[in-house]
Amino acid sequence: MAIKVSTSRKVFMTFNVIILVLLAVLCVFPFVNLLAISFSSRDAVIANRVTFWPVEFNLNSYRFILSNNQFIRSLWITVQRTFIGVPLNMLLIILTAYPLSKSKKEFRFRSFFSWFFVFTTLFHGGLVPTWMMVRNTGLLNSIWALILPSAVNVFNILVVMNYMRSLPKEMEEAALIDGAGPLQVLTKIILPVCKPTLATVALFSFVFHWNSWFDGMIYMQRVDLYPLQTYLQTMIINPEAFFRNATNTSAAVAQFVRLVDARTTGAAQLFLAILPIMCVYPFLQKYFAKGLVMGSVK
Amino acid sequence: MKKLMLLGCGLMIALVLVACGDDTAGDSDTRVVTTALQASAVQVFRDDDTWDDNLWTRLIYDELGIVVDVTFTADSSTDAYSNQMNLLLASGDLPDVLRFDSREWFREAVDAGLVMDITDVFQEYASPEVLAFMERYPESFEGVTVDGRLYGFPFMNNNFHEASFFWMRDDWLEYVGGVPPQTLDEMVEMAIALSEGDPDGDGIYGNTFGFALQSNVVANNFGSIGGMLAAFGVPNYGDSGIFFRDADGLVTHSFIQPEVRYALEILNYLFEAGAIDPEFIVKDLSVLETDLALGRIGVGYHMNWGTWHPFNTVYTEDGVIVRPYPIPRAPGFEPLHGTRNNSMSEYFVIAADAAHPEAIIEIINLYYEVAVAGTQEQFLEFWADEQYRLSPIFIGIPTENNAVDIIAALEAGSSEELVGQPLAIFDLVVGFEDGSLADDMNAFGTWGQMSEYGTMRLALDYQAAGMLVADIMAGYVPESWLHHSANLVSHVQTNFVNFIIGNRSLDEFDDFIQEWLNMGGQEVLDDMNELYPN
Amino acid sequence: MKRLYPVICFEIERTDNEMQQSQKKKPSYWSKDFKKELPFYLMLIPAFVLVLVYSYGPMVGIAMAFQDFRLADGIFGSNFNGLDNFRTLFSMPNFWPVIRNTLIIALGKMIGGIIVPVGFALLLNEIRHMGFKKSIQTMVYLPNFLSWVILASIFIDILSPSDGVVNHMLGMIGIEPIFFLGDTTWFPITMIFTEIWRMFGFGAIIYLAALTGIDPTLYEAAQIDGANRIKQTLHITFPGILSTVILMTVLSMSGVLDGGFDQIFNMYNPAVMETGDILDTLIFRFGFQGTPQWALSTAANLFRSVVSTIFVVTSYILADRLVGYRIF
Repeated sequence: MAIKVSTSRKVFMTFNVIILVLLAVLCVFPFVNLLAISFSSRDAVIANRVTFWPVEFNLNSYRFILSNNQFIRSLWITVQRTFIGVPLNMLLIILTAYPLSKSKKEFRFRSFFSWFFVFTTLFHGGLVPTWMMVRNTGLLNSIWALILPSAVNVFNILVVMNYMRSLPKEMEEAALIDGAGPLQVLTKIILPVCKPTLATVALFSFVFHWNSWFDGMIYMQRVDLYPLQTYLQTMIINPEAFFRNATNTSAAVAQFVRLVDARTTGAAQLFLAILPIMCVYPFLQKYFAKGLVMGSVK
Repeated sequence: MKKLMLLGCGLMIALVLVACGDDTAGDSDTRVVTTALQASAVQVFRDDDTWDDNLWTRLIYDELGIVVDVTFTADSSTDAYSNQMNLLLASGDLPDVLRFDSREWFREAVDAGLVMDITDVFQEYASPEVLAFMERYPESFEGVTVDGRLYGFPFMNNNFHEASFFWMRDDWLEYVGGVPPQTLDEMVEMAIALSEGDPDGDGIYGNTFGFALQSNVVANNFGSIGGMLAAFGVPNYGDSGIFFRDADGLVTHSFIQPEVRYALEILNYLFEAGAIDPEFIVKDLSVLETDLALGRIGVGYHMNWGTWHPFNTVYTEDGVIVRPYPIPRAPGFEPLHGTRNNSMSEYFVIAADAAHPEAIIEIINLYYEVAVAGTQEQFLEFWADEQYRLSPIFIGIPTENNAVDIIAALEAGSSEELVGQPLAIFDLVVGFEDGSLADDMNAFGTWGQMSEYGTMRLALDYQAAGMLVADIMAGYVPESWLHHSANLVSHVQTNFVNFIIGNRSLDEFDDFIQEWLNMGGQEVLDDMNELYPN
Repeated sequence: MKRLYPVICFEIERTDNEMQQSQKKKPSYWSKDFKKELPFYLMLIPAFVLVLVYSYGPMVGIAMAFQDFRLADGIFGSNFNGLDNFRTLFSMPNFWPVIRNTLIIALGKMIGGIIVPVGFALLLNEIRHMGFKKSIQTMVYLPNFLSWVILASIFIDILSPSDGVVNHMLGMIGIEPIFFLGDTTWFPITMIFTEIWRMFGFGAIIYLAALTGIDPTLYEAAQIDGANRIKQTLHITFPGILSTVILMTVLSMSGVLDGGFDQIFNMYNPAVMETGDILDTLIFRFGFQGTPQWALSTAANLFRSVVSTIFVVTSYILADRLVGYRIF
């Protein structure tokens, strides 16, 4: 199929490419800067000598973060919560979004259930009562405290539900006439065409689990049970308080204090934290691309 | 479909496995003490020690036959501990022994009946040396006494060291003639000379600032204006200020003294003259620290721990010492420094339902023997490198308490009289001065406090001259202060900055005072007068 | 021409059906349709139970907003004091200015937070070169993962009036240095722009996913009808993602009093309190400067929830009336 490309189209595309590249550079700049900082010496960072490339390249910040075997423990806890939490999230999203995507005719109380879920995004019980509930259900100090209270993500449910509703109704009607039950329709007909949106919310869910730190801080009563982000947070978030107690700073830590500072370790933390997301994202992006190719659902 | 079922089954199995995971039964014969440890996430363990099995748990088990069960650890440098503590209090489910670092927790817990009255058990089991603390630090123990009964074991306090000091880089002092400013006029003159001149010697004039200021101008930290307020006889400590008595014996507050205006006028002058970084309002302490390390600032007020932080960076960067001096005086005013009340502190409490309160007192006795009165080897093993934090209960004795002895020993050049912690401090100071510990940051930090040039001696001078004023607010905090303090503090911070940068005219300073009183300040003062009658 | 609006037409039809349905009342729901719909109920059970326990259970805590709450007495033992907490809150001299600041900043972010990602998604959608498209997409989503603690220090650097890159560039075109973070006018604007910069790439993911869902045969048909690119965008692309745009708009309404705590907290300073202090920073100061005041902060949060709910319900109704689209 030959497509005639007009001049105005060419001009538009040129500008479009320029704008997109500029935006990308704007977004990548601080990241490259931070990466450079994480590999630079503390002195160079304090003297503001680092822009795009590491100055006095070294791995001290990473060594500082990895110097405690708590890092590995915490990493393992985060991996666990992600590997249990994301599939559970996805399962609940699918099971909830599908009934809610029905019309009132097909599912009489869908409005009630929709509002039932949406209401929770607007009103919260607050920190103490939520904590009490987690404690009373016996989840404190267990990995499930990081998974179950956040297992139902209403936002993601709405995204998937919305996508399901935009699918042509005839598709499943045919299956229903063939005598398939709702569960079969969901797994055989609906889910295969929902891949793009499922990939999207899977990414959201993954990022959520990977980056959460506050729940770890309140539901885990022991430092050795902290997930990764909580542990990293306690290490770098508050250098002032950390140093104010410096009369008690151990010699081992003091050694590092001269080599690293909050900015270099913060940058290193960021890089370590974002690394898995960078690995997962292109993988999911592939699904977006597939969705693009097989976008035809009629 | 199959996939979903598999997934569901997998989850169920995992759930069951996790649920069955922890199941350890206790031995009924040995005494078990459950505890909360407040520690750093980067706590350093000796060898293969862990939270549950470390030199303190082994010592306590070997010596006393007590098993320490750590149910709770939280990081001390973030909100983690206080969040956990608020939640624990809400649930009423406390470990046998734990530390409160808030007066309010203590009061709530006592009111709720969660804390044990240890008057009798303390008298019966505490060793004579530990009992003697009650005599030596009556104010601290007053903080844990409710209606004549003892509800906790406090940190001992001796807060005279909390005054403000004026710190200067040695090379900058050299640049302006080698004599530190005695008066605020000299200080202003010097600050302007430093910002217009070239104290950092990079050949560029005017790329330095002669006076350090951070965005929270009333913080008890580097770059605050606390020392200047003190010069005008306004005692203050940190952003909450302090309560003290005016000439009529009525309770008043730091930041509503008319003299504050004089200090703000000077600061406004320094700001207009370019001696203060015009961007200080967006510079918190970490940014200020960068400027300090870069040599853009080198003079300012700070508390006593300057050589621990942040002047250690100047020392490691440039090998230059930043030294403390008495605050420059305001002619016609007697300086007054504010400190916290000695009974406001941190406390160890025993839960009301603890099975073996006497075991906890025995641990205090043991701690005293090993980490306070023990040999230097014991001190280095059980106290140093934050190891003391692993003991379920410890004795917080201020270094200040030994200041006189240490300074005397340093002058005599002999450590014969010293043991334990004071001896370790003596060795650090001497080591820094003779150069053997010149690269040791602990030695530099200690030196800045305890040596003959240190803050401790200056604070003792302040004390001898009667310049110290302790906060009146001790054990009892009026409800009104709890309600209004956040707003009052932010009102002060916001307006002081706006006065300094000229956003608000100092002619309106009286209006500012009136606003403070109307925002609930008057109510607080009335309540304070009632709670603490003269 | 009608086929060019597939989604909307489809929705309107559905609404019509519902209306017909309700007119011919069925005898009993439970005897007949319930059985048919039973699988739906079963599917909803797990999420329903979890939400009931972990979201609705703790809502008893909202009672604190009406109590003279003391931790020692707990939620069930504390005395109720009616609306006293709200009276305290509303009578604070800085409360209403704070609400105004919050609204300005939050609305700015909401509007920009829809327009920019949608615009970006549309621009990116024009690119046919997959490699280029992917790379751009991968790069722009990065800032979303930078925490404000770290971003704040970067922005303080580059927005500095004395040696920041931004003012340096403004200086080259003859503009006087602007103290973005220290000026009461510029501060809220800076907050809005930096937040949009941070989230637009990540926010666009959802629109890009929606764009992939548009039936390519529609474009082919339009080309045969002779529609140019602009017309195709207006009549196919835009309607195709409209449902997502509306959904995101309505959902963002719940953030009408959410100025972005992490961002403001890390960048505000005493000089810009007048326009930069927001509800969340105010609540934070109740909670963490001194002793936690659970009652007051619960009251403030409840106030925010009620306002958000009003906005969400209003926009839900508007979306229903204006474009015939039911969001939830």
